[in-house]
Amino acid sequence: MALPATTTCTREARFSAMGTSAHVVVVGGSPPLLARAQARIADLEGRWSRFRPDSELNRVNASAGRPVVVSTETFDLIARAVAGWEMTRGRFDPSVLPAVRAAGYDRDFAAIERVAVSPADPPSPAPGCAPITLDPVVSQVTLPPGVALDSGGIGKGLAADLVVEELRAGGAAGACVNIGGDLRVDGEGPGAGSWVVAVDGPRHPPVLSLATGGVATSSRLRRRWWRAGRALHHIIDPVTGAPADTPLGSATVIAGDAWRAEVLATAVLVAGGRDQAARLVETAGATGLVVAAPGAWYALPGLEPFLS
Amino acid sequence: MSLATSFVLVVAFARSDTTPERSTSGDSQVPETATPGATSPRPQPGEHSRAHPVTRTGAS
Repeated sequence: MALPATTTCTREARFSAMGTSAHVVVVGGSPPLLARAQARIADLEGRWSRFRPDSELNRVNASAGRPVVVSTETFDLIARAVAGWEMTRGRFDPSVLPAVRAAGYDRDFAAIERVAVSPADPPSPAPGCAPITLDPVVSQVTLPPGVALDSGGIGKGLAADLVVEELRAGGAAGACVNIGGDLRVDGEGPGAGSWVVAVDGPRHPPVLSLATGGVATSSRLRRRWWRAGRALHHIIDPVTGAPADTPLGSATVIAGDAWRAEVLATAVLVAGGRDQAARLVETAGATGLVVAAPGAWYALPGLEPFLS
Repeated sequence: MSLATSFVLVVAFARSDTTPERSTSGDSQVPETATPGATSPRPQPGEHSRAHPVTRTGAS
């Protein structure tokens, strides 16, 4: 996808990060910003990956029942995950990690055995976030025993938010950070225009135009695997602990920031109903669209101004 | 106290008197509290454009 010609220098990079592909676009600013953004994403992955034994998140999960002092970034991740759980009344729930593992997503997705004859482990409901204690004064987190958190999509979204904010603070006229579909844009787009974003997935896909904000898509049609002849996916219903039985294929949400868009996209997919989806995004000052099988999409309230 | 710290404190205090209930109806019953969504920044639409997309959403 070629970037439009512009009087302000535009630089971009594509690379692998956080178990997916990342795309960073920087408008203006100094040349080192691009490499700095890539290094920062790697740094956040090191803190939040559940597949790295030495990550801060794994340290928190392994210390359930005891207080753990963490970095500001990791504290913010966990605080926002808890806020997302409250905002969606539990439809987004970072405490689904044991359920995700039980379903078979227990290692980097590229290493998962896609088809196995043995069934997945029995699901169990997620414990929720109410017992999690956060102390912002000393950046301390305490998970109750038995609770473990999945950074999943919210980590990608928050990383996009942080890196865009840091790029702008570092002198970029505009920036876009897209980590596996969780993206944040701000400032001047390429060609001194807006940020034009194509939505993957539906037939006759819409194209979005944003001045600033976050976009995230959650889908049950990707990251799928099979156990005992049953197709499973990574969007877990916290109530059952099993992959969500939803009529929706995917949900794309536009919000003020990417972490919130990710939280809402997951909640919309889990909720499944059109009215519930509309209520979730409207309450949060967001909008979006939903793809129902087999590929037709419909707009959630407030989408029209964002259609390019 | 910074705005960010205030926000986190609101979340922490709001949760202290919140006792979520879970159901099997498919509609979780976590009580609504002072949600950060109420004060979140709103996305701003851009100009209508025929320009090629800069990036694609993919899916997480």
